[in-house]
Amino acid sequence: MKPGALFREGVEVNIAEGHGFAAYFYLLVLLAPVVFLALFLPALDAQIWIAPAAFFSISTVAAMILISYFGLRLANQEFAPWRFVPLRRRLSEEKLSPAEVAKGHAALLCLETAVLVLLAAPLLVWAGAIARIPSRVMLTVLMLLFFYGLAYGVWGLTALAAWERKLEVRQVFIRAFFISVMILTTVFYVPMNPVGYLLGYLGDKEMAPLLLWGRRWSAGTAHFTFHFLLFGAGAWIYYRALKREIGP
Amino acid sequence: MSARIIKAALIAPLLLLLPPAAPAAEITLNVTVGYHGVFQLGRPFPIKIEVTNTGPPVEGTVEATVWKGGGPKGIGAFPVHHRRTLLIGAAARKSAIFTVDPGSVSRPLVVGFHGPGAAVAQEIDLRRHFVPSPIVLLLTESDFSVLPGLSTPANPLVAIAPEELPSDPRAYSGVAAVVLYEPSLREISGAQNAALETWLVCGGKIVALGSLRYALYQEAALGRFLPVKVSGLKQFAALPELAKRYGVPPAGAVEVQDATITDGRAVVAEHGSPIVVEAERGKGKIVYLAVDIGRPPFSKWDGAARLLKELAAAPAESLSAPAAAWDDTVFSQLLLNRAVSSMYLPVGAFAGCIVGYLLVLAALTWCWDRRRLAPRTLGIGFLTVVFLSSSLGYFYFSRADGIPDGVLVTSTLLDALPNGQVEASSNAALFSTIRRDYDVSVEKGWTDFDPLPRRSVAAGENSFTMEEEGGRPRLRIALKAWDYRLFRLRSVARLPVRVELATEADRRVVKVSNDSAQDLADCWAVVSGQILALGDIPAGRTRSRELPYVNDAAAVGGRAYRSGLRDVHFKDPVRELLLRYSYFPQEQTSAWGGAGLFFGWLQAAPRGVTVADGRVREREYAFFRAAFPVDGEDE
Repeated sequence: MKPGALFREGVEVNIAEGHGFAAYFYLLVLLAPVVFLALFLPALDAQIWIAPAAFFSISTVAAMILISYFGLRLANQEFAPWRFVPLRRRLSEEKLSPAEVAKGHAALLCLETAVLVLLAAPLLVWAGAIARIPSRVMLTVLMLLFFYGLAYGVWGLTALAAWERKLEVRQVFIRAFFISVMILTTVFYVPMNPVGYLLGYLGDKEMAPLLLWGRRWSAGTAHFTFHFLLFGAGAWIYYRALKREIGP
Repeated sequence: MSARIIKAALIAPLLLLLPPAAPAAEITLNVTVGYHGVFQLGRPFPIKIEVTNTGPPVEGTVEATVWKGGGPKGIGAFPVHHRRTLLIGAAARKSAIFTVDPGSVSRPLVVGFHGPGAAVAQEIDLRRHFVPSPIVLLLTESDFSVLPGLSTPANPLVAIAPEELPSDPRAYSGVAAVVLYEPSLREISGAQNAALETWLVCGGKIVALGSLRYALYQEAALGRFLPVKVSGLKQFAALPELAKRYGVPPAGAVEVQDATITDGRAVVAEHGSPIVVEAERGKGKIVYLAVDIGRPPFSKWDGAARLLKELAAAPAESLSAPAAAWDDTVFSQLLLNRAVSSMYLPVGAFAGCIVGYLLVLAALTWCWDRRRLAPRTLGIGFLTVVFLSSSLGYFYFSRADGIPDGVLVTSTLLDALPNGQVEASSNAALFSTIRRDYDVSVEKGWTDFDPLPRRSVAAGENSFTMEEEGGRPRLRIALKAWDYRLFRLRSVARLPVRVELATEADRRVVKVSNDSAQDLADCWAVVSGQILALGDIPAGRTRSRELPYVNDAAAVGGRAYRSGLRDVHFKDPVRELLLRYSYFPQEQTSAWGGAGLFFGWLQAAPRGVTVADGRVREREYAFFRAAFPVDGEDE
């Protein structure tokens, strides 16, 4: 077994056999109407008209949620799980090291996230052009979407490594995890939430700094530190779970 | 040590050759508030800032800042800047005149001059300058400066020279009347002339007092304002008509100007010669007096005070039709309307692109499903589709003629006045799709330009800068992306459209004569709750339509008009929206009870503001409205 076998397996199952197309289909089917309808979306208050002003912001937020969610599900191997070789076999019978497995999974996660971002890219670029968003901001947004896809998607790998044979547990976990993070970050500090941060960034609004442990953290620092920690924590638990599969 | 001394000795003379530091300009400001220090409280007034430079030439900006909003108005206080750039030569002086309209006099007016090496500012307390009533301006070149009975502390008479006349019609807002006595208007500029005329037709009053120096009254510049043609002097043994009204004039023969009426009517005439003539000009009035009240024997006449008081009294407020509603709510609805939003949103193209993109992806998937594409080809095809659609779509949607920087929507309501005139109230909205500055210019003949502050934004965002050159204010305004500002202004123009209602035994006939040069489209009449479609009425045509007589008292009230208007429909949804929410809003229902109503759309709309910018798209609506009496109903 050559290194990268997991990556090739993922490409084979999700793309060549088309099992991952369901995620792409859902993404487009949900995102396209949201982006189109955002053009006509009236404000809550008739006196504050926001439709095209928030057009790109709404599209971006919708894309972020969908990419992160379907990235999680793809990483969690929810689409055609029977087609993947169990990790235990990879580690014990094929004698792959946890690092080799992690490398394959990470490459596959990057590819899946990139495909999801690319699928959404034309819709977002058009929305940005109509909303007169500078191309620099559009590029930043696409990179942020990729970043969020990875930061949340790694928890799909964590769930896979921790409960590989318990599909329902994994499914419940990643959904509960995603919703909890969204709610808790909003309650704790709005710019820590990706939706809040994107709206603040695109709305060109001054985001209040975070006061924590007697220090003032700028909104950007707090947001990215949290997401790097989230990614790091997910990666660390995933790696520990892989090692546990090998046994003492 | 010696080398240093030698170097210093060589450098010192060179330093002396260097040009000395340029002396700074020495600027002093002299500010005149209102008309010789007087203005009416709550009305716009002129300020003259004279900049004196005793230093080298300097170019800089004269600025006056007043505050609007705040306190009881429910809008945070915001500054309004008035600016003008001046190049002042060495030991010279120049002046800038602005028309300011502070929200209150409790905040000082701040004036300043800023240029390279020169910055001066001073605050002026406006509380020392205002009077509660409108003032009377006396325009004369003689030393005659007191009109008996006219000047009171609350309602002062201010004598000004013709060159002091404002160039902006708004500056006349606090003026009750302009009295002309032996003036020469030859030297006044075109802008001053236009401002005086605009103010007059918009409701001002000019009182022309005759003089024995009649030649001045034959000048074309003055003659165009007069309702008479002055040919010379005429002697009268007595003036019985004048004596009957205002008391017996001094005994003996008197000389008065000999004139023939060109327009208007003689209020007082002696032996066929007009003595007092009144003429309407739009909403304004011109009064002419043939006698010379500044010289004996009339200067000592007891009746002069009463006569002058009557002549110069402010014109009675004419009953105006309700103004069109123009606020955030109306404009939000306009923006959400497809007809307007399609001006800046390529909705159809966007939908087409989305569908096209999805179809191409579906085609790729189909080819892959039919094993017509290898995985590598599928990947390359996918990347190509994403790249091409993103880049082509981006260039298409952001191309120069795609989405404009701004959209200017003008809605002008023309309310019929007597004598074929209309009072035009123009409501405009400038909407921006990007963050940038706009220059909004006011067209000639329009006045009372007023950018409406928005309650929903921070007070600072209501701030604007008015640049005034030649009496035509130009508003410089910064708009954020997807933001807008509303403006209002008014004018009086000629549009002779006559509407008559003939009532017969069992029918009524509405007759509309369009004697103007403009076509009227989509015309309707509402009489006692009955609606009547009149279609288009081209210029120069007359159209009559019958409607059955309904003697129903319930149909007279405002509710019936409301229900009548509800049945009026136009093909253009924006027109319908403007009709219901702007021209006839719900809260004005009771104002229309008891009168017949005719309305229609003008094809070529007069408008008060322009934005000279190719990146701004414009859409104009002009609505003509005339109320006419209906027999048996209160007007």
